[in-house]
Amino acid sequence: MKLTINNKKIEIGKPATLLEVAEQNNIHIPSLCAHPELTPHGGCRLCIVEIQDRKGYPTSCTTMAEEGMVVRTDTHILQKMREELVQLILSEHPAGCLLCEDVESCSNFQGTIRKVGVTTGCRWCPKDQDCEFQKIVEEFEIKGLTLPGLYRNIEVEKYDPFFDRDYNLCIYCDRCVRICNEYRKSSVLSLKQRGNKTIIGPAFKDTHIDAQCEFCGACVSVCPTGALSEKSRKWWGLPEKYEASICPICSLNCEIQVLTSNHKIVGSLPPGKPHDSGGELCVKGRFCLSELLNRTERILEPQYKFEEGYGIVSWDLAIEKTVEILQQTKPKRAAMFLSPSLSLEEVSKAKYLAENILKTKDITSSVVDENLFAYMRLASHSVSKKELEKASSYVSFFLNGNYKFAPLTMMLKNVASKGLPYFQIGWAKDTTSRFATHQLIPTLCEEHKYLDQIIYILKGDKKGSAELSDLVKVLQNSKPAIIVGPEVISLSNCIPLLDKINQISKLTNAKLYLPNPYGNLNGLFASIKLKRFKDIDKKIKDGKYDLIYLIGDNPFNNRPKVKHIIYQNAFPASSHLDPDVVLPTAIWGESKGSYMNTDRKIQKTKAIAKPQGYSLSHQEVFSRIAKGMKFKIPEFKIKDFGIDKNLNPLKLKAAKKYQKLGIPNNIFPFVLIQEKSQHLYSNMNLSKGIEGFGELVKLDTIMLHPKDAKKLNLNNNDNVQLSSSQSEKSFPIIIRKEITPGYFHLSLSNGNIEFESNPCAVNIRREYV
Amino acid sequence: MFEVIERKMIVPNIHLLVVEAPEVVEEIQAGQFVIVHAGEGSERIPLTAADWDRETGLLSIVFMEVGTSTSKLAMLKAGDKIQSIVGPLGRAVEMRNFGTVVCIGGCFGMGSIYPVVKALKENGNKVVTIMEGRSKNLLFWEEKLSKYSDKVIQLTRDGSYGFKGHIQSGVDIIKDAGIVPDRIIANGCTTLSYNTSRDYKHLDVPIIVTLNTIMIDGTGMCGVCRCTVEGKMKFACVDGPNFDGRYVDWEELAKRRQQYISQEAFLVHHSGCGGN
Repeated sequence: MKLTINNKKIEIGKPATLLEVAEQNNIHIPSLCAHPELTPHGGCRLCIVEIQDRKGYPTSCTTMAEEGMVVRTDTHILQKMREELVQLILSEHPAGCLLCEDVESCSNFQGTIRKVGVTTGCRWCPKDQDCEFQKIVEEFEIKGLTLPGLYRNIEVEKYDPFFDRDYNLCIYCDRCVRICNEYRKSSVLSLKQRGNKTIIGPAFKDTHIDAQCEFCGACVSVCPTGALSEKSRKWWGLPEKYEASICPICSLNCEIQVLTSNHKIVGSLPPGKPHDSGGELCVKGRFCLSELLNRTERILEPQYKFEEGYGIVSWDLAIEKTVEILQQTKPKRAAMFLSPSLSLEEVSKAKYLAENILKTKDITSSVVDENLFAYMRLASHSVSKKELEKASSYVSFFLNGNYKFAPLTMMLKNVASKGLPYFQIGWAKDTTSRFATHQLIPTLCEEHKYLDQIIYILKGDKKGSAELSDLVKVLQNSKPAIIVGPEVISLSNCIPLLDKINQISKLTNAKLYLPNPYGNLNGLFASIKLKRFKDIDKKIKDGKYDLIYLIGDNPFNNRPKVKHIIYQNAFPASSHLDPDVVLPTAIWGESKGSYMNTDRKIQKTKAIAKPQGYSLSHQEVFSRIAKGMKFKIPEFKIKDFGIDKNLNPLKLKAAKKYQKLGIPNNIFPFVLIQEKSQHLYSNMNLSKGIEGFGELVKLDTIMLHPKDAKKLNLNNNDNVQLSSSQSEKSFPIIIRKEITPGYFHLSLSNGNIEFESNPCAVNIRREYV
Repeated sequence: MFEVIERKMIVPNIHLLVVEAPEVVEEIQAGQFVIVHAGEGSERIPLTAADWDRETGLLSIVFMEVGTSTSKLAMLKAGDKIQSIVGPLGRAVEMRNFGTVVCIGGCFGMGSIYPVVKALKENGNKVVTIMEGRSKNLLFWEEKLSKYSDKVIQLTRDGSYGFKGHIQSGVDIIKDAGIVPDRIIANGCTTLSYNTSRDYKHLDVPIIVTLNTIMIDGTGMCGVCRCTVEGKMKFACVDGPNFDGRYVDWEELAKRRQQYISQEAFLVHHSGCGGN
């Protein structure tokens, strides 16, 4: 196709808009609402052009290039009209600084960042120097207002976590609305009201949390002005560097770019141009990483427990004392605990230390129980994400994709909206539920029977309900993929349920995909034959150990009865652990390492910031200990480790019998789903360490649906008494739309299930005052 | 404990805080400041008094929300308590009949210049007040200032109200109006104080500016607020905060104000709801 723009003859291959054609040919057309990831909007109208033999001034972002078109982008009249359009926007956008002659001297004296509550000019705006509207005003060399100014005086919205919204600065480019609906498919944002009362936000007066925003931050990234700003980064100015890395929080290990300022990590974004990246990350990767580094409580100096109490000591003394303890410990008298957030290098060195110095094979992690073993055993058949994308139908079991696994949930949303069947089996109403062909809720507390039904129908033994027959038909007539959510690990009958899911996958030849919520659990399983935490715990109680060596992990609230405890971690221990030596360590971003993801691919991270305080990387600590003991720990090499590594799950003696659960009845009419909190990095629970995340995933709080709350006459933060046939406990409540009516959801901070079974039939009543 | 009688945002970011502080009000004079400590974990912040009433014991402060502690102040409601208000501190601005005085209030300075304007008028001066802000919606207290001024000039940087321009445009405006000042008194941010000192220097009259140094105790003990005026080391808290801007070492001042930038950016952030 041939056309002419500004007398330049242009030939194009693929259909494209005039704006795209111009950009590809280095012809600049100003625009504010156009965005490469989004459908054209034609809202700001700055990209107007003249086309020969066509009436008016069409916007080039919404006009497709056609054969023989003769286009002008730079005529005087276009320029005048654009200027007027900018003036219109300026009249509603705080413009003082844009038009001030003293900008330079002002910048010099405003060394202290203007951390204002409301932005009233560029020098007071978190997006100063990074604002597309600012650039447009500079491009048009506008020096004064032609229209009377109108300040909208809308209250700044700060009541949601992670980002603030000042719609006084909004220019209605609609990018945030489009990225939320089109790209991320969250459908949280929309333009509301009309005329000069137009505002952007969730329907009615819902908060973003209520509107089930996933806090992916895509809207913040694409905002051309300071209307949307990241709470943790807004006063740092433009980042100095963007470093490629991977996210260490869950097993997907998403690629990210890490933003630094003043040698500190101040934020993280998905790869790509900072303003183009469209929310490929979950809230943890997008907003929590920098907070984890900078905002959580860290141990900053080595400590040693002297007779008279703890003292801050030098590294030399701390290592000397550690070495003494290690030398005193007899073979097989030590247990080592490793966090699933440790890198492969750290794990391999810890393993060497355990096996060759402590002469023990008792290595475990506090998250390792038989349910996790069963999950990881199935996970060893997990396919890569790329393979997963090749399936033609999808079934998820017990997946709750809220605030996690963004690439997976986005893929499910995308395939489902393309028309591929997606069945969600489970009770969680997550971000993918709206897209599911069917959400199938298994018979309450008889989930195994429900899965048996599917197996019977698959084998042709029985006929089932219409929805199950539908599911089976799809499974049999397509290339299915089965996704198992790690939420299943918390269920009482996890092992038999996984067994049945395995049978279903075998009968249908389905691909399996099992992501887990820990950064390098795959790497840990691939490196070490771990013991069950329960077995080690029992041996501790039986007095079988003299030393417990905790590396990034800590399951204990109180000091277990052993002679020595070494605590090597970045985050402080529970106050009653009482370790003998405390060795402060660096975390992700401060040390380099390799992580193995769900695809069993090994990716590397680099050290971007310096470790905080006097902390050292785990690797450095190990090599100092080794030096003190006069031996050498071999360096970890991916080559020797092997790339296609199998996981080492424990072989269980016999498949666990199904535990009979109480079925909901008149006395216990509700179902309680408990979840051991899986949002962890090292032993830091993100809900506890990061305030904003704590707002999203409330720990030890009963979540229930508004309908149930209304029926029970309960309000947010009321205390309730929850009773099952065997126990009774009290909790505060929070009302959330994402919970299925009839179900209560409880995220537990301490890693233990509180009621006799999970799920559990319960009753609820307001706690008597 | 000091009770909050009123707290409201008068224009975006600038808040009026009225507190009951009879003992502070009893002694206070134009140009003096108080140190407000919002509560546990807050900084102690020096704020110039903007108005007071000796009969009722009410003290008004106009402050701008620019960080952690001021944002805490900005969340106060009537009936809340402030842990401590220390004052009056600093030296009062020199006051007598000077003749014609040009008062400049920029930003929050439109509030803190008010007692100066009032006192000047009461001392028989001819008072010309320049209100300076970035836009029309950021100007306030025009009525109050007009009451004690012979002339009020509005300056906005976008030209949305009064004259267009920054503080240097004021030079020509007063010249055109035939005003020959015997003294200039400016209240506002450091940029405004510096620009006033630079742009009005040729008039060869004292230019009294209020320096906003970082300050901790406000009584001359810690020395954090030190600045150099006429080549001598001064403490803004006990020697100032009002100095002749023509002799201030501005470069040093700008540098000293920047020393805690990282800490400030960290402190102010709050990832949860309701904070800043």
